[in-house]
Amino acid sequence: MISLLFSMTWRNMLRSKRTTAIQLLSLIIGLTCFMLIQLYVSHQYSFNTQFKNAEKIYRVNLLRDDNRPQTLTPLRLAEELTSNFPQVSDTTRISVSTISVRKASGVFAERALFVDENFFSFFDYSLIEGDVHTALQAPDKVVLHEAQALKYFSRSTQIIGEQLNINGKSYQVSAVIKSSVTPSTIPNEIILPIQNYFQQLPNERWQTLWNFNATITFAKITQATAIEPLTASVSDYYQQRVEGLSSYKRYRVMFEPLLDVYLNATATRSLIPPGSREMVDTFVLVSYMLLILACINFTNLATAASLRRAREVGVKKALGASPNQLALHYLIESFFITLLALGTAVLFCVILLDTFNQLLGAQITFTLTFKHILTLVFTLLCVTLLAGGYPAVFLSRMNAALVLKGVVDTGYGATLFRRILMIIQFIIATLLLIASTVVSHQMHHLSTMAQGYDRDNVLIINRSATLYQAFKRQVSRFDDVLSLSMSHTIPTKATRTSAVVRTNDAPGNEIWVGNNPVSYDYFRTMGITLLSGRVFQRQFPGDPYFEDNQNTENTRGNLIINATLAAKLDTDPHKVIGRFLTLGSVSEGLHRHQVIGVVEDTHHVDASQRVPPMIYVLSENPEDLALRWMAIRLKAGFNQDVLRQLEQTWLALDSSKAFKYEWLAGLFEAQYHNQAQHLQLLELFTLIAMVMSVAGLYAVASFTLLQSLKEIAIRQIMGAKNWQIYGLFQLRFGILVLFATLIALPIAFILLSDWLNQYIYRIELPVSVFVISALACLALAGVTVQVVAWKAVRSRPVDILKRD
Amino acid sequence: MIILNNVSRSFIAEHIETVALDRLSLSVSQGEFITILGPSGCGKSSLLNILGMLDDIDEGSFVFNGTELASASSLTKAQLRKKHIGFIFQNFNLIDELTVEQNIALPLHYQQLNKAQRAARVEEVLHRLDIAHRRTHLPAKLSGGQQQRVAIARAIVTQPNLILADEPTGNLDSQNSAQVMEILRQLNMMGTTIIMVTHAQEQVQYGTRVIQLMDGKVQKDRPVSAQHALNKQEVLSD
Repeated sequence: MISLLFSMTWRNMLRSKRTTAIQLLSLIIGLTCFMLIQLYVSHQYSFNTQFKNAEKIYRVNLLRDDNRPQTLTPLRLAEELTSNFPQVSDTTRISVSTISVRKASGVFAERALFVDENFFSFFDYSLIEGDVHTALQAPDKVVLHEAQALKYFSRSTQIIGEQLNINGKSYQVSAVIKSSVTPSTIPNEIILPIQNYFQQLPNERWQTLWNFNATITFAKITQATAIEPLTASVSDYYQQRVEGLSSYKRYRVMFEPLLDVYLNATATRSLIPPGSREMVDTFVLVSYMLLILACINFTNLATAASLRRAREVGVKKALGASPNQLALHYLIESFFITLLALGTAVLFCVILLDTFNQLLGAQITFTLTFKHILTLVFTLLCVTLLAGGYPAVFLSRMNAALVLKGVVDTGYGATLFRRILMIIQFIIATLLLIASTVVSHQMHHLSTMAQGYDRDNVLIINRSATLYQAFKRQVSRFDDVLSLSMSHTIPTKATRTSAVVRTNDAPGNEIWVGNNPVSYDYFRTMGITLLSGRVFQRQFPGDPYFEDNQNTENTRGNLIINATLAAKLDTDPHKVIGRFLTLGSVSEGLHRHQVIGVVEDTHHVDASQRVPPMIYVLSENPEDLALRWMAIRLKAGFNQDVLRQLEQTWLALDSSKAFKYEWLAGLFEAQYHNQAQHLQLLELFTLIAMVMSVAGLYAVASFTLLQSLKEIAIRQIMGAKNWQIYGLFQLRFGILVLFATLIALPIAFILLSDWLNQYIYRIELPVSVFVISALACLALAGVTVQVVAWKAVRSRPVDILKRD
Repeated sequence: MIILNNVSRSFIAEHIETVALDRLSLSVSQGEFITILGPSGCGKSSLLNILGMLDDIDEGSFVFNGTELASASSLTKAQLRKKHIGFIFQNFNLIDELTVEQNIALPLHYQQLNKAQRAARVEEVLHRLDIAHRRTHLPAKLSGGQQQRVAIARAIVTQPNLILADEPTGNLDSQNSAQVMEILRQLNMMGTTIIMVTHAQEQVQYGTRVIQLMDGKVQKDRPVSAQHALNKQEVLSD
């Protein structure tokens, strides 16, 4: 029977090639998109699953006041946890810093992880060679990932014991980590013992400071139920020790499961850019939408084609088939088609995976594991039921006596059902069209809105304080170098240091501000506009910020503030010049500073966050106030040679430090990189959804036309004009699409208003997008129906009537 | 074998009720060859569909081999149908996607016969109806007469004891018509009950009883007189 059904299905498919093509292609496209998205989703959920103890590992985040949690914790926290809280069975730390690796071929800047000796008992990587127990035992050991081993030694085996020069010191390779396809939030960077990190600190005391947050702490906790009480007790413990040391009031900790770290994405300063659960969820939704579109095309075409299959149903019933038997047979038929589509879709997935990876910047692999096969079988059955279920029931319940007489009662119910399905299709298509257009407008707005600085032609170099003065003297002579500065933070990086500002007239009113210590020329280099007053200048001895640790009240130095702070102070930027503001804390002493200038607001992190009130203080020497970032503004249209000259000058000053730079514009783009990728993907899926909906409409319209050929012929003979025939058809389908649009518009409005609300800097929901999208869907449907109707109008009425 | 008692069936189309069968009573015994005559719309096909259990009755009683079908489930009817009844249609109703062989074997699939049994039965009817040389062809490649022979083969392959034929020669020329009628008569000779709807008065001679329908009621019901009936002995001695 199966082989009989198979050959019947096959011949049926061949007989109506257009229907088959649309049904199959829809299913193939729907399934391919569905599987690719599912692969992406499971990739996003698989972060850190490679670690055996992942379920017991938690990242300890700090919460200060109402700020977002941050991953960086005091260096001493790990030790405090293990010795004072028995629920914590073990802890380990990871600190990050840039290092310079010297090889014969040059000096390379790398990011390195500085980790505790027990690192591998938390993160059990498989090693190509080496022993996890001894790999980090001595301070001069270095662990490489496969890629770095290949980079520095051109091989990944037999390099244990080889030497690597890092920051001018010699290290011995003690292990090589095998590269893994499972993604992890621990980046594949060079791994060094944490003692080396301590050596970089200004002095040993910093290791024990409660308010110096420089390491990510992981804790192993066996009992999940212990988390809640533990969070409370550790938070209290931490609060007691850190209170009064900085200006925050409320200190808490949270234990975040390692498996949630990637998608939760609430904590700042994570080791790798976090994912977005919202995006993953959106794509899951989109994948189901596309699959539903495909199933609708299948169902609609199968029931529309029932006209032709009706006689077959009648005969089979007459020959003794029961309705259930017939339903099963038609389901098996759908199963064959779905199987064919699924097989092709799997093939497409494999072929398209590379492109998809490039689009997403991911490294998703396709392996047929038992779980995957199970998922495929499940998908196959679901789609078979979803797509073939209704047609099977519809066909098997036909009245045999009537269909054998040639009367096919398509029935109002079936027609209505088909119309509802078509409306659903166009609702989905319209929703996606509006959503992707609005998302695209908002993204465009974010990346083009005024950022308060000029990001073009600016080079950024990290950790260069020791070379700064000499480097500046030399390169200032270059024609293409306009200006040079250093600062504690730069636009695109978070403002970290915080301070409290009070005014004389209202000392109780505390304003939280970001504090950015900068060098001379900072505003010129960053292209930040001065709104009033002046910038820091050498001829004003009162400008540099000087901290008097003995007598805090003697701390002096002038301030430049941003427009937001000026607004918070309830003054016009011009009137605030010359006013005095109070900094410091009541416990450590207050000190007063004069405002000498107001600059425009600059966005430091992406525009999902409001620009905070900011103060700028002048640091005469970069070492004084921990300036970290050097910025060089080049002339527009600079000669590329200047980059080489800069590097030569740099290496001449310190040959052990790599000259590693980034463009400020590049850092800016990187902030929106993920969103831009996701947007591209969303646009692609929207296009696919539109094509599928139109193809479905085309096919259903064609079938309806077949039914109405006689009606059209008679109308023509009665003297109907062509436009009247077109109008008849347009009206029949136009109403459906119009109805779909009317449903989609308010849904889109609600969803997108909600989405836009999460942005502080947002567009107003553009009415034009709604109107244009609705019109576009209507027009597209109109053209499709017109093409079908055109064929009908062209045929000679006499031929049709004769045929009948 | 069949007892219909006061059976009514009407169709409602666009709020107008059309009475197809009106309190019709009829009984059929095993071995009869009944020809049903009547003008278009008199209820011939409706009666055949009800006898074939393809359609339900609104009122009355329909007993088939002792089973009351007025309120039977579609599954019961499907089972009785595949066991006892073979259909022959005016427009043949072969399945276009199946070959001659597959079309004939189709009802056997529903009877869950194994492959060898199916092959043997199909082989037998293929030869009996002289279409063995066309076994791998699709219906579209056959002439009308051949198609109807295939349809008859399909109807008899399950060895039914009742054959319902709805104008079996309506789409055939006179030569093919005569052949088909001859086949039906031979089946009847061998004990199969045949109920045939036709427009052609001259085909009455093949049967044993004539029923004239009018407006959903039996107008006349008479045996075929000796002089009209073909001599059975004659046929048997052929």
